[in-house]
Amino acid sequence: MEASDAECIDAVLNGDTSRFEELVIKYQPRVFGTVRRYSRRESEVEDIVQEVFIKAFRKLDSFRGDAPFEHWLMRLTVRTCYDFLRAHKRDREMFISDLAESESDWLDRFDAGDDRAEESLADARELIYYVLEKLPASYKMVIVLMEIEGRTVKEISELTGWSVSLVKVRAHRARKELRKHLERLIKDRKL
Amino acid sequence: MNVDDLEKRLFKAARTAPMNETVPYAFEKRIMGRVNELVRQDGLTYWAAGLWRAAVSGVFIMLVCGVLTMVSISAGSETQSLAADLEETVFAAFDASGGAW
Repeated sequence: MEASDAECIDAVLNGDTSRFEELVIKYQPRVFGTVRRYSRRESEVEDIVQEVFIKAFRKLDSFRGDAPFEHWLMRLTVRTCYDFLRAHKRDREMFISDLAESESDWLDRFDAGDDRAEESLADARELIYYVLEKLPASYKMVIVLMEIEGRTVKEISELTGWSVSLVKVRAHRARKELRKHLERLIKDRKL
Repeated sequence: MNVDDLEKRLFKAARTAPMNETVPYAFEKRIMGRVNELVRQDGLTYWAAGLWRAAVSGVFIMLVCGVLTMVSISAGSETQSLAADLEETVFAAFDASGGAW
């Protein structure tokens, strides 16, 4: 742990709450980046980030200091995102008409084997996040952590607090569910 | 369209995206505003929690006292009837002899 983090935490725990701002300023970009992987709505992102820092402030005395503060905060961030996703269940129905024109065009280009599909990654990104929104919270969580962030099963287990076997089971089911959604998307386009 | 291929391509696109770490202007002020509010609330919560604890303890003590009183009353009535019974038993022989000692 960096000395400045330790100093700030000690000061906050000793009653100087204004020092918490230094921690917020230092880590808020990372927390925003992580939260944006789970929510596409900016207002939701801000609410989740706020919740993360409020929880961090409340639970600061439970931080033991044997691992970097950033790891502790990221664990808290991932768990807060999971709680938020579970509490705000989305409409799981997926309609081809919900896709933006650019996303639909990307699918057309991909289908036609057009090389430009490779170039417009932003549209592909939007498309995958749209499909992920339709998955249950635990499935979305495990797909983002494993397939997008490239984390190992053990890392996911530590971040989420799930057992290693539960992570494996959820990853397997999540992939299956995702494929089902993609197949439906393809089928609906052909209709 | 190949689903495997599509899945791979979509994941690849998501992986290559740089993290969007943009922070809204003065967001830390918003957090600190909430933190300061919490600290103020915590002071009141401390007193409220103390009062609640005192109330719970008070009810517990009242219940214990109530139970003890009930037990002592019922135990007292048993003692009274036992005393009466004992007195009756002791004086039974005297009564039987017609009181001629």
